[in-house]
Amino acid sequence: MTKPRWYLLFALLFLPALAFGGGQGGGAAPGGPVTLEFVVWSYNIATVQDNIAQFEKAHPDINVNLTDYPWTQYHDTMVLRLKGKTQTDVMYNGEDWLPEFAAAGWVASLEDYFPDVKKYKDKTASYALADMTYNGKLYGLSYYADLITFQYNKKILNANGMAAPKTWDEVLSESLKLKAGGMKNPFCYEYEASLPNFYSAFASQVYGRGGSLFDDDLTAVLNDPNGEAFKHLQWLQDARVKHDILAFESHETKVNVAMNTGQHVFTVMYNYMLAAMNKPPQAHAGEFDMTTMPGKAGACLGFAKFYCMTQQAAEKEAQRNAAWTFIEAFGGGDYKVAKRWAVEDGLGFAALPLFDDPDVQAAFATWIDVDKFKAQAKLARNDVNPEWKGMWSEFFRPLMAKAFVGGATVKEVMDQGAAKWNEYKKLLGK
Amino acid sequence: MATRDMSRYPIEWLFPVLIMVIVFTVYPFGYALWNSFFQILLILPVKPFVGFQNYVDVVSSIYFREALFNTLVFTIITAPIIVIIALGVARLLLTKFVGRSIVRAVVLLPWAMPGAVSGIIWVWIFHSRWGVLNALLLKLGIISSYIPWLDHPILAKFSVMVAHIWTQIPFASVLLMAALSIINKEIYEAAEVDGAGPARRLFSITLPQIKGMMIIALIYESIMGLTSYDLTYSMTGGGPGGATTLVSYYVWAESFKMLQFGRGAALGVIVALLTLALILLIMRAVPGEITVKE
Amino acid sequence: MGKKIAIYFFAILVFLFSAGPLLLTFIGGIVPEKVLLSVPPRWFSMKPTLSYYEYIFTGKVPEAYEDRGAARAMVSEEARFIPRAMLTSATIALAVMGVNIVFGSMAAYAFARIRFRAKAPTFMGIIMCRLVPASALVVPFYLIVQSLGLLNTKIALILVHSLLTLPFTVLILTMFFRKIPIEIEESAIVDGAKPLQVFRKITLPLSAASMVATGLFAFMLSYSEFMYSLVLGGSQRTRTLPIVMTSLIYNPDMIWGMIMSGVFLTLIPSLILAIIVWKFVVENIVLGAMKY
Repeated sequence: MTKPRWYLLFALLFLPALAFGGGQGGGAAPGGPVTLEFVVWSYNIATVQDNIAQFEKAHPDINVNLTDYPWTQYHDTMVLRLKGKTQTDVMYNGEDWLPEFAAAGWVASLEDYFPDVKKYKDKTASYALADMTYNGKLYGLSYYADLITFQYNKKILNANGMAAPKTWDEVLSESLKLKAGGMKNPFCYEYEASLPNFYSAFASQVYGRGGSLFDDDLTAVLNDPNGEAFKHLQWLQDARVKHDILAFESHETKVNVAMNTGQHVFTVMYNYMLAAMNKPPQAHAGEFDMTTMPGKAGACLGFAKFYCMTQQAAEKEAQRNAAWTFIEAFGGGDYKVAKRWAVEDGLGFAALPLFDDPDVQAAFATWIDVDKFKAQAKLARNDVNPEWKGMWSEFFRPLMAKAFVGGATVKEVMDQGAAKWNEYKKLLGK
Repeated sequence: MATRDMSRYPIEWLFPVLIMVIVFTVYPFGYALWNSFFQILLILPVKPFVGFQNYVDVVSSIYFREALFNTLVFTIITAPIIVIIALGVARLLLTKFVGRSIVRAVVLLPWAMPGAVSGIIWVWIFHSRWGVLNALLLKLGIISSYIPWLDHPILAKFSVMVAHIWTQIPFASVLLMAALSIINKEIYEAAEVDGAGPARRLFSITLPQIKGMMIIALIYESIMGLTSYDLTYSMTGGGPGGATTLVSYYVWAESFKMLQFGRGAALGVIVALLTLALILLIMRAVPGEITVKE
Repeated sequence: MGKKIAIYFFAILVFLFSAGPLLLTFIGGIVPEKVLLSVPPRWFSMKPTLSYYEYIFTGKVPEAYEDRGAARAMVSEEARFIPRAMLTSATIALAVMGVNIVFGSMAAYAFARIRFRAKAPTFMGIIMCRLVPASALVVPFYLIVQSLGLLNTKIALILVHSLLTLPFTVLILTMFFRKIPIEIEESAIVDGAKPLQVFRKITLPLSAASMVATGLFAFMLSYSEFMYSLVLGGSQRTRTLPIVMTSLIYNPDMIWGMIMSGVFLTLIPSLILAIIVWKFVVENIVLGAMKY
């Protein structure tokens, strides 16, 4: 091969790639079936695609294009996508994003266009309903709903002669006993300031104590030194700094790994992680259970993720009718899609009828105490989510993180948090 | 220096690169700069002009000082270390020894891993409670109890730097290998005849000959250090209490999480200026052959 | 003799440091989950298994999951996307490599050997675009790509990745081209050669090694790039490896062994490329050196 030729070889190498690479799919079909752009986060896409295929078979006049982004980047990518006005019709939405997206004019209320949706309201768990409602209007139907619960290794705890703790004082005393028995950090805590659920887990624990972080007209009360929020952050700080019973993991998947090494007993996580921890090939699978959130009230945080229609879709009649048909099929109707998620993947649900469905109960019984789950769900409360919640949470979480390790006092952190909240409320509140 | 005496702009050589750069640099940079002077809060319809207020806000925010400190320390420590180690590796890979081709191929591999993936591997190595390194050290009897690599602020910084260095060595090594291979062997032979030992040869011949490439490597690693994000955050999420937070996280977070696009743009401009300053410093410190003065 | 020992010692050190973590992923892909993350590690107390690799390629759920209990289908479906994503990433990266080698070398030649006005500003302009952190430029990039109608296409990624790599390619190749002894080119010019011929017949062959090395840099950067692949993509067609791996890692159904087998798989194209490229680079270094 003479010298210059390999140069051409490289050029040839990339030309085919350019050929494959080109061409853009999508685009409106010329009359005929309506195309829906459905955007989700990347959880079990094959299942989603299967659900879509079944839907398309039942509704031959609707084509669904699926786009997905990794969960950890979903919110940010959607901000970019919606800001850039890329065609999006139905999307997964979450409780903490709804007010932001609605205020920015990106999502549309289902109730305004399809009053029929109201019939689902009394079949939906209250915390989920609250999460899907903005300005009094319902914006979606639930994809899944879940709780943030207190989970523990029942086998190890019982083997040490103890039962599930009922108050945070008990959590401490049991942890100290386990520590004396050789377990260095009995409480595995998901500690990661860049994750929104770092805050949600804290709120859930505060709810267990019967406290609140904000009062009914959205004024911050978290910095009240006699309030449960303040007391609990202090508890957490002492747990880490004074008693050294907390071990940090930066993501729920790592908490799962840690708990399955048998070195920890307690944790607070999304309830579906209990299913993940109890999954067979792991070393301690089957040993975990949930219990009512420690504290006087025993309440916990409940939340919902849901299917939402965009403002873009709402503006065209064909588009919005198709979107509603889709959303109702996936999030409403006989709840068959939600049931599938529950049975196959242990995802919680907002649909009240499913709590009594025998298949769901049987599937759940393999990894959780179903009665305890039902009881906890009855006590669950939704989080407070005004338009500035996301922004405020971004500000507050690093401060909380500092408090945990003793890098700031609880008073400093809570005061700064309250000040910022009230500042946002003044700027953006009604 | 073979130069053509044309003052005509050699557009046919530069065209493809230039067109891409202009479209994708001038407009975006202008866009970012422009936005940095407005208060753009996504959920409010108004976008008032606020001059330098965004810059002031960003610099005086509670996270800035620590993140900036962490980022600078991270960059200033890792960049030179990477270049020095890479020099050694490059020299090694040009020496004949049995198994050289295996080492050559293996050295390149960390390069192909995305940051989040390298992060998860290094978490497995450095984890305080179920990490492989701790298990190994314990088994070898070097330590008597596990070291909190990722839980102690300073150790966390160290762990993150080690992982970063691991991902960057391949690139720097390849660069320096190519540079070393161009040096005319006769110069070395002449020096040996004159009695110069290895250290003397290194400092008087090798280093000056590859100075330009070392500077490029140093500049590239500095840019990588200042803009690094994926690896660190997938390992520590910002570290115990903020010990490994980096400015690059906030450039993204201001815009996409706090929804303050004006401030995000301002922070981006600040980082760009910082990078420029660092590069100028490097080029000033070691006057090199890459300044394209004619 | 001491020198030889020092060389081997250093070589082993380098090997362990570079390959150690990767060997770990190999082990992680074949040791059963039950003992993989045990503390202290008991990796060899159970037989190794290939079930994760089987699942990735065939979708056959590993036997261990067929056991009693918990949500049975909780096996990360994302892992099945790995082979295709690998192909997509490799295709894009190869194209980026090509673009860099072809256009980057041309621009570098202009900077190295041609005298023209506005050289310094042009040079600085090309380098400048790497100064601003990519996250600050996401919005304008997204808008440009969208207006070109290229959202969710491989071409967009090839374009953007080329943009991220060209400044360095130009910088590095300019340096290498300048290192070529000027006498060779001057004698060609005296013989009547035009710049393009000098470029093709002298510059390119002599700097083949460095060009390929630079091309490799472009490949690796594109192969491992995450942010723009994320925002400019979103469907199966453009799903790159880093995106799939990120989903896999943070997925609640995550299985450590599955991730490790996925990671190990992703190393394969890079390993192949590294071996091929190194052979080429080595041959040309030797040839190139002799030419001087």
